[in-house]
Amino acid sequence: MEEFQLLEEIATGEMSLVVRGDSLEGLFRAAARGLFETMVDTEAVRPEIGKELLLSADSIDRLLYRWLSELIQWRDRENLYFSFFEVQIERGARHRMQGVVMGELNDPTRHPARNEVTAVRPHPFQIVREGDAWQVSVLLDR
Amino acid sequence: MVFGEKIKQLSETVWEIDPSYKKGMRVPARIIATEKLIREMDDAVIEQITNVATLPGLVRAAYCMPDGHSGYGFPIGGVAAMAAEKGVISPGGIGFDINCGMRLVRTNLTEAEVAPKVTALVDLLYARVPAGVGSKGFVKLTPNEFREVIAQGSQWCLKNGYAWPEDLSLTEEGGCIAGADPEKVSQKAIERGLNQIGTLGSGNHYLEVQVVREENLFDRKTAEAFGLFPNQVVVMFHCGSRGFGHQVATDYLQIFLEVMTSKYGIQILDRELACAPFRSPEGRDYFAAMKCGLNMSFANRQTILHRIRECFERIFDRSAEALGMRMIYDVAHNTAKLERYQIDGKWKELLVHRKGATRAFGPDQEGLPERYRPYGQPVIIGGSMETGSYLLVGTEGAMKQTFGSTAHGSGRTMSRTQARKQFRGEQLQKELRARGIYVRSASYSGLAEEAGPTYKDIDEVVDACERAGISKRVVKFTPIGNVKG
Repeated sequence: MEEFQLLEEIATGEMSLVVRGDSLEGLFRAAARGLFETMVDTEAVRPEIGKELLLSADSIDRLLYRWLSELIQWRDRENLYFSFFEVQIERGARHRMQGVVMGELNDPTRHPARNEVTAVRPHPFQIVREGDAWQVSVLLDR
Repeated sequence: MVFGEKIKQLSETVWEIDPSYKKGMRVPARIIATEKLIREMDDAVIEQITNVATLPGLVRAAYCMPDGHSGYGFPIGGVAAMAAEKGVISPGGIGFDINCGMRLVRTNLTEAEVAPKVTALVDLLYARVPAGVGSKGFVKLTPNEFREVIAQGSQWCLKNGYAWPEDLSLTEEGGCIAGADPEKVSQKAIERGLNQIGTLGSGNHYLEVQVVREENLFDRKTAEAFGLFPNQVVVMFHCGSRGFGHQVATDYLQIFLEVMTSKYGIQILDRELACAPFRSPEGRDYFAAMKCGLNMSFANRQTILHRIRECFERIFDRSAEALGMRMIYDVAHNTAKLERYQIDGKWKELLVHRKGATRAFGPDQEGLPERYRPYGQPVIIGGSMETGSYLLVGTEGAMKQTFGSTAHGSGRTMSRTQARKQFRGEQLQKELRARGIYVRSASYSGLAEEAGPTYKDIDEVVDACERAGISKRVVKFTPIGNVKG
């Protein structure tokens, strides 16, 4: 299970994603896919350009925050949309992750924009585990 | 919303929430609004402004302007003045889009001259001023050149042929705030902003061609002093520091989250209020980096103005000088700045956070262009593309009540998602056309998000500002053309 849901009604605030995964890696992949799905139809994004991200943080939720923030920054820096996400997480005193993402340059004729996401909000941002499933709620800023 | 014991009405337009409302509040929270506006505010505004009131070093009260709505940590419309020596600095109190702001430019053209050409004009503006997601600017810069831009702001534009000398004197801080240090900005932020000079962006950012209608001239003397006359065409635009400002805020938010409690022992009620002591190394670094965001945004709006002048020259076949395309003012509404105020009879240096709030200095204040000093600072209030916008002036009342601050716009009443469900961009574009407003947008869904009913009644917001005495109406502008980001 790797899924996400864009919440519809949040007063006058911005966008919120509820993300679920059956592993931490799955949760991170689903969050990244959900992030890009709010911006574009990722089915139309070809996996032509790859990037590798090595990140660390002192908590898992901070690590997820960094992962998503880093992806937004790459989107802006190189005008890229991503559609393929692979994640490996090493848990420890300081958690580390390796992410491999693939996508292509934004082509407005094939990638009509849905929303511009400029930042991930760090709150509320608590990853919870229920049985074998992981869940988190992520607020996105425009 | 709980009125009565929890929210006390101090006057017709001032509402106060006592520190007893919430554990940790150091000062009261005050909301400037008419009864209609405060009743329409989402409950999160109350929670957020009372959370702000818990921050260390806050002076007098945490304020929310009449267009307040819930935001990131602070409500949009939030004003918080911190004692420079004992207070904190918080990216949430400034906003991620550092120096998001407004610029107003006049022309000597009348509506009769522009109306027949408005379609061609707006189409050209849409083509020449990049708008929408991922838009790239026409100014090609190396990382080192971009560092010069963020250190120098509009001065860089002047050196590079994108500004008239007079533009700088009519921009807040002369378009270049002192103390911006590119060394305090991450490489990521530099790379994110590199291609964004000269772009409007998306969301609620826009460029509008507007008209001064005779019946909307509220203060003729001040309007004349600002170079305005009946039936005149003006250009107003709204944008900020794009991804660059967001990256600066994101970078420092992470730093603040790590040191706030562990190093400085600061406890906050909401992580979105992450902060550091203003005089700490982290606080100083953020202030210097945030100023780079201010300068980037001044330069962004200045290069956009350069493009706008080119478009008018092409359509009207006269030079921008001959068309009288002079700036009225450029003002930020997402900032933190050091200013001096009298507190209990003594002058004190305060760090005034304004997030979705406009500086509104009254007459004779330092920092205002000489020619505007008798009148007060121009305050540019953007409305929805359907309802029009305002030019106000700052007042002595704002200096006394709200640390020289007032509203910044209409304020949303509806989420963007809800707006997309309720309105259709294509239909809205046709309806506006029929009402004499020609709109070009990077996306129909983006257009639907900005439909008039998604915002508060701007007349009510401006009325609240005036009744509270924190700014005064000069002119209301009517849109005839709009480029929506």
